[in-house]
Amino acid sequence: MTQKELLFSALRHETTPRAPWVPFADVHAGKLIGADAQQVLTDEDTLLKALLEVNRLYKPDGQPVVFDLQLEAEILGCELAWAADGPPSVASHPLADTMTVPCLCTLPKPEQGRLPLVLNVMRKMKELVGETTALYGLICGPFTLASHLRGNDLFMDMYDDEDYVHDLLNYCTQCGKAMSDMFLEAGMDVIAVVDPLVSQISSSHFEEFLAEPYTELFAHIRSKNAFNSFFVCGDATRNIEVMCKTAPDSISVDENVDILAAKNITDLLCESNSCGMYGKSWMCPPYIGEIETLIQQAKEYQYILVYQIIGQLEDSYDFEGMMETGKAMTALAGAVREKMASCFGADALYLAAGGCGICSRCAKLDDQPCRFPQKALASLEAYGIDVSSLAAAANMKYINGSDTVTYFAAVLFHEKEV
Amino acid sequence: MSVLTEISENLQKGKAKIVKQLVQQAIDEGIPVKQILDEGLLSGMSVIGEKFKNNEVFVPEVLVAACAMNMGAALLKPLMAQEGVEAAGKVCIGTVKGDLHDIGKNLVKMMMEGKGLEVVDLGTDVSPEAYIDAAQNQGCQVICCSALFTTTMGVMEEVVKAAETAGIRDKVKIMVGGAPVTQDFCEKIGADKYTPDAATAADAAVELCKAI
Repeated sequence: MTQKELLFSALRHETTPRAPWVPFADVHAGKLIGADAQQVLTDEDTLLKALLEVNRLYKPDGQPVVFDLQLEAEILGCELAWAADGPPSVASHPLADTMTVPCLCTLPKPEQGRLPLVLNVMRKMKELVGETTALYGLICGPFTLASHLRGNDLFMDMYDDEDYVHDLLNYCTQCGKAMSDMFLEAGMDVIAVVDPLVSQISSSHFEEFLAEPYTELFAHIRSKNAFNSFFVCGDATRNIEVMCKTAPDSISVDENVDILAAKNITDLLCESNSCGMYGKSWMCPPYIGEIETLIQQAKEYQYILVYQIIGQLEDSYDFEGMMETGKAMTALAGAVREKMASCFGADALYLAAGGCGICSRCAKLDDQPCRFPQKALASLEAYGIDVSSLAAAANMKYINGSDTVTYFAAVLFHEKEV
Repeated sequence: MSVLTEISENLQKGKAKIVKQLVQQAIDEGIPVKQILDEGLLSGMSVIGEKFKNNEVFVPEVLVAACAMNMGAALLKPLMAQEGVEAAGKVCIGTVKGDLHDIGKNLVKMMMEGKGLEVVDLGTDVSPEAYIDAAQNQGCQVICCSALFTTTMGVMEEVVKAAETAGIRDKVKIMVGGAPVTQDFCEKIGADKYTPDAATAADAAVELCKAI
């Protein structure tokens, strides 16, 4: 598995031996070679040299090629104010005094603005490091782009003229598609739709104005056989769920988001099928039962025995080693259930990592009843248990050193007989 | 429901036209101007501020509420001057030099107006000298600096120094805020007050104006 494939595997929601690494070096890339922000964002050779230095230094699994949310805005008529040590800012809003939606004929074309520079660098990066590094093309999200064009009045328009906002956002969505197409053509593997302003509105405003544009945009990118990611800045915790519902391949957040709360949401969204097991086993959702009911059941137990198995991997790409450890955990959990049943009582609940795994193919797939109801194991996650919090509560380590993989399992029981 | 409660509730929903009608109605009923302001407009804005602080409402909701407040306040302004109602204090606010981001700055301004302060808006890309000029020549008791970038927040230190150089450091309080700004940073540059959100900033400014 190459570094790039590791990231793709994560974007396909498969379990990976380790978390992929996508360092966000934007104008910082220039800093590495002594170039300022304006140089790195306006000079092709400087940008390429800086990005190659990022690649050499950080050995990323994935890497953004250019991070400038003003790229589209500049083409669409916003004046930019440049700075030496930060990305440029939008200094004027062409639609500030005119409530109009530009003609679709104005959508960015490859020869406009700084696109020739950006597209060239994308092609060169593809050629030079694209074999092992997944490349991200970043586009400005529809809401932020609309605010670049219209200015802060956009927020008021959301109350005063909803239809206008819908129309303007549709234009910005079409712009996003056009940008995605150009970036994909230039060799990008992942399109990141970056919309910092999403953290500044309520979930109901997101659903009213942004759910459709985003669903459309991600579907478009997927139809081009490329991956996508929904980038947001700031505390967007409350909006993670509505963002997930637009079906991106992944969500990217910063440190302002409550990561545990966000994980709870993505874990509960089993329909998003992040582990690939949804609907494939009697012991996984939706057949295992309603999450709320399962959480309630788990809460009724007084005691829990948590145990773990740590597998040594050859390196962080050792997928086979990871799967081996997973099988070892299933075997161990089976043995605990079989040989220690008398310790926990008849009504104990046995949970393991990542679902059942007793049969290689669950009978459910053939519409048959469970073959081994006495052995079948549900996952900790199916019962709404956050495994990293569980590990911390049990004073155990979730991560046990480099090139290792750790699986957890647990027995929930009433009588303390062990 | 009293007309003042109605003003407050409609303001919270951002119903600018209704707020304007109700304020006129309150004036016609002979309710004292100060009472209409405090118990109608400012009380509504205060609820919005609290909800914003608690992540219950967001930028658009605050903006429409502030718009409604301004519509109502416009009717009260000439009457307030006549009756000699004074502002709770005078503040100047701006986004620092090199930074054009004004959503946060605007929210703080609206919340401050919602607390009955008079606010001089210096806009964006504001030089340290412009803050000092506003404090000296327009009698602002508090200078508020906003920045969105780690690369521009350094200008806040220059504002503090410029106030020292101008010899007004003991006459004016300097507040700082914005995404990258922290309490530590505020202390390090010798500013007087950091607040993490717009509603808290408005409360702090009122306190600072009282203290001066």
